Amino acid sequence: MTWSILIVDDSSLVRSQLRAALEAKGARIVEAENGSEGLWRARENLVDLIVADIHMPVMDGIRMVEELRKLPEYATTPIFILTSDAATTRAEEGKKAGANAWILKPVKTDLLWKAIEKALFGRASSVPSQQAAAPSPSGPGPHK
Amino acid sequence: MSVDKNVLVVDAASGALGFVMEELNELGFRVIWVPTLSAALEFMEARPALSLIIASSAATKVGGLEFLARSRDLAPDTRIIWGASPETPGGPVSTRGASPDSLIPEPFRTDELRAAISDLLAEHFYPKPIQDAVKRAALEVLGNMPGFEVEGGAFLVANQTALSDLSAVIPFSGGVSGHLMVGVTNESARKIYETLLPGVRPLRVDRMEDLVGELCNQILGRINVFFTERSVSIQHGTPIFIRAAGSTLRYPGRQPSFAVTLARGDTRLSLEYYLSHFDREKLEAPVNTRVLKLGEIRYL
Repeated sequence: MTWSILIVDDSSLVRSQLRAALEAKGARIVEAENGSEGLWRARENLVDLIVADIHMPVMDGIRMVEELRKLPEYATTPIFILTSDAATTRAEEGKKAGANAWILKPVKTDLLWKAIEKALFGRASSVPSQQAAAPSPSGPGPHK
Repeated sequence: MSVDKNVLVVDAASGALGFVMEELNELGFRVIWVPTLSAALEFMEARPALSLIIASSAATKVGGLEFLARSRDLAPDTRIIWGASPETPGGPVSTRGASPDSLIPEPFRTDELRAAISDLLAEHFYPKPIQDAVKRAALEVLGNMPGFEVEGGAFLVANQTALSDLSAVIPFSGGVSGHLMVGVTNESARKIYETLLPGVRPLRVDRMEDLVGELCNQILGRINVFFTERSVSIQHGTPIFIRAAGSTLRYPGRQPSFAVTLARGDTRLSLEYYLSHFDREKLEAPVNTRVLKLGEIRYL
């Protein structure tokens, strides 16, 4: 089974790092470098999960999540925010927009993959204690 | 910010401390020059709010021990740098236990004196908790590349700073304002890139620039945790990328930057953190706001 994941980040380094790590796990990656392109790519490719930065030119990540949630096909798709902003108030903005998880950069890709598995398959093999206490994000199964 | 930004220089009229006075002025200090220890004591009795005293051996041949003891009485928190002449290399130590904070052999070596001054004055602009937050943030972000260490402590840089091959600056504003600049040489950028993305050669300069910008963004995000934990809100501005090796960046204001160099072998990354203002009381407040920890995933 191949999951398709959209990575939206204005940093080519972050996109490349995530692509390398997630492709190694068997995921198919679609990239976008800002929220506007992210919307376009999401419409063009029906993806299973989205990982998005917040601070991006053209359209920021929060606005992109809001717009995605208006699309029926993305009403319940897991969306992870990957950001350097640790403020819980900002995370609340993400929640209001419709994001499912807030993850800090720099991210350990193994940890991210476990969260992706948990969201898409509901069977992360081992969950760190701080995550274990958190509720599981709701989301659909994989499209494929 | 500290208000006692006064530095007293005790030196003979033809002394060696002229360059120091100019540099301190650039850093935003008010520099007061006196030619003798007795004049220095007179000044201190009138206005003891001093950050630092720098005394050259040319002006301290007579009465050094008494001056040290008396200055410790008048201004116990004021740091003292003392020039040690070849005749008294051990410097003065008074019978009352007063001794200088830093003893530097004369003739002064510019880098040594500059480092001592910077070290003793950094706290006035950047309280230790902020200094620690900057260093910790950088090491956290570089944690994926084990082996980086802070090289040679930290130091102050006047508001005109030399640029590296590749630099990224991110301004921030809100409860505190300023900017963070990260600079690297092309060679260091290439090595860091290849460590983060093994097997991928960063042939294009914009890829390496993007690396520097992302490191700057992540380090600033980690520094901001210190403020966020104290309910100080900060917004990042848009990153600015500069390719201008050998050039300088000048910014308004007379506050110095707090600079740290991180090194792993011959790979170096320089950081300059600039705060234009902050409320010292807020910084001393206990942590009162929970923030996400690195590696923590918050489900919403």
